[in-house]
Amino acid sequence: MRRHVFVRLLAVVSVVVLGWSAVVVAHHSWGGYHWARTANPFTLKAGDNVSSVWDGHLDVAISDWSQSSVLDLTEVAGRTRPRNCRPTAGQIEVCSNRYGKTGWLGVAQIWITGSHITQGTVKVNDTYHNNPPYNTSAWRQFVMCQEIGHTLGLAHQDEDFGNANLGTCMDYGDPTGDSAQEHPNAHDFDQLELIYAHLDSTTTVGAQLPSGTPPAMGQIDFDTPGQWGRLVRASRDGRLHEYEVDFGRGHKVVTRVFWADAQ
Amino acid sequence: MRRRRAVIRAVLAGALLAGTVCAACANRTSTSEISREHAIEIARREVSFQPDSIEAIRATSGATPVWRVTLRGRLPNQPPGLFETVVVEIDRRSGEIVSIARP
Repeated sequence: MRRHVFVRLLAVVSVVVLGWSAVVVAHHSWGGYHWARTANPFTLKAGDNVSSVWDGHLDVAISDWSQSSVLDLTEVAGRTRPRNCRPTAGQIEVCSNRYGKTGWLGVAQIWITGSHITQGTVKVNDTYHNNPPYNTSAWRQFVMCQEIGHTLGLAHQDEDFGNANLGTCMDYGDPTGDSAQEHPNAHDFDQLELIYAHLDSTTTVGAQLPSGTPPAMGQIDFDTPGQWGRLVRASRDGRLHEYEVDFGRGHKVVTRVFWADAQ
Repeated sequence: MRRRRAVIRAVLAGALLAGTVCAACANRTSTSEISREHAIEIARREVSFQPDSIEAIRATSGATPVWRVTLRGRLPNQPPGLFETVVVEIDRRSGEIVSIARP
């Protein structure tokens, strides 16, 4: 009788442990953000705006992440100036430049609507990567892999630089002499499968400006007043200004500015 | 005489209408923007670390008016010279997150 109870107890514990294992398989989604798409696998374009020293690292990272069963990355010509690294709708742009002593080796930015990623950028910072200890192939590959991983919807697996490396680029840790730290691991691919297990009714992948639209229209830096074009209208009190850039054939970008203080 | 009265009435009605519209606009401007504190609260939910500094400025993202909230902090054993910087852009009108940048 006692043995029977023990076996039953063991069975319950086993189920609980198995269940727990299933739950903790992956835990590093970045806030649930993901590219909307109607089918898997989907193909995401990565614009190449990096210098020659980074080209090989971008190629490897694209190949690495394409091992995922739910997505493929494909390299395309970049459409932005690396310094600004402006996004392109429906894809990611990857840029290298000296961005200054920002505190980061690389940074990923995603634009979102609800939980859907609509565009993304990756910047790798040569201010650090041109100097020791970050001017090595290992550090460059590690950073490139990690930042692209972010644009797919992944966060870090671990954020302690001092503990043992987990063997993935999504872990904070020194990659020197540890090549596994330069690539994704099975845990990352498991997480991607979870993130993209469902399908959406719409897609943000490859979404583009309307056909015939000059590409430069998507490159205007709205934070730079010099790119707003000519002033075409101003309110009497000087608070509301309207600027216009005419790209021809009816394509215009109009920027309306409501100034906090009258100009 | 009758015609003059009609003109005056029309002018008054127009002024009243314009006044109403302006009041509605003014009201919308003052209530449609989320506060800096609310924006910071939204941004803090996006970071895993305890920020050492938080900065929130009014900016635009594309054509969208946003609060650009920058949170900085350090992680355990982070190498000297490096620190975490997360920038969250939040639509000032809707409170929706427009973009997030993270290292």
